[in-house]
Amino acid sequence: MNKQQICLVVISLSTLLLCACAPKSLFYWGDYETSISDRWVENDNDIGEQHLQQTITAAEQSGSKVPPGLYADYGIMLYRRGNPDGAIAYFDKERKTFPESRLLMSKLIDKIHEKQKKTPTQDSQSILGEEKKP
Amino acid sequence: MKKTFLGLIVAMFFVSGCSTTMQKKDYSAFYAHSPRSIVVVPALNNTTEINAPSVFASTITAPLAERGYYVFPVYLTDILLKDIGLSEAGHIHQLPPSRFLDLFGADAVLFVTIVDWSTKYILISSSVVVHMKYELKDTRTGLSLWQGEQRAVRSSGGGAGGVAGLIVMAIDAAITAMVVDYMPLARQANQQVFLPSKGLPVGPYNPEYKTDQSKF
Repeated sequence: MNKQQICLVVISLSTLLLCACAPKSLFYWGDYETSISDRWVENDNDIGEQHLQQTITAAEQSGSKVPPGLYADYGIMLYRRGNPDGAIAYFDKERKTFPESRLLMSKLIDKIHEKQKKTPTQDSQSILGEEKKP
Repeated sequence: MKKTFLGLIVAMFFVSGCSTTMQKKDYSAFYAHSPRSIVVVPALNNTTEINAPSVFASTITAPLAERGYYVFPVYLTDILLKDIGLSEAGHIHQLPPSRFLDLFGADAVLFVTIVDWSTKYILISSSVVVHMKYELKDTRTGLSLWQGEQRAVRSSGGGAGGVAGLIVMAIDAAITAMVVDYMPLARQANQQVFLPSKGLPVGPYNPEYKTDQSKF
């Protein structure tokens, strides 16, 4: 092996090592996947909410980024549990963290405010209910 | 006469072969519209496995968000669609993409069709398969921005030797037949399909944004 060949081997080896290190997660995911399957596959909302809440707390404490959608997801869980103020706070967090969600989050917040102004409705589960088209 | 006919068929094969390969490499529509946000609507299920769409939905967010896109929360998406009377995936997939701009403010909508979700037994070995087709559409123009297809397979059995080994494997297969965990395979397929060279160029939350064109 001459010098050039050795150089080439060293370069390609170091590139390989660099590549192996490179794929770092952009976000902290924790138990988010489990949280969705708890709710959707196992039909257990309580455990699902717990997993979601733990993931958000762990992400915030670890200094990693909270993934897109988690605050909004937690907001809707709070809403369906009869906590509209909590829902508004989390929808607001979502739109501040991810501007892409602003339109939807603002719409949901407005809808909750509208519902709060009216006398307490029987139908507290649905948010967009009024938009229903025949 | 026969020869010309044969020639025509051969020529048609070549033409169709060319067009599909060229389609795969064409990212011009994608780059022209470069979406920042994606809403994943409930998957269309062409299999008999009723849990497939929800297992799929649990595993789609992370791979897509890790590519750098804002992904609307799948659970909230499903709730909001149901709120306005859209609970059938078949119906949702027929809607004009612009509907998802109005409803969610999403730049693009991802339609997924589950093609296969099954466990097949051949003698004493089994293979678990998930297979999906993906299409990303621009919500402003309705144009198809990207299409993908991914299959993930896990085979087990057929390795150990001897009669005892065979019996153990047969029992093993019988037990796993009842509780096949499709989650890891769904996760694997959803991760692979968005990667280069046929996947999605990265979005704005990925540091490689706008610099990874050469990989596709």
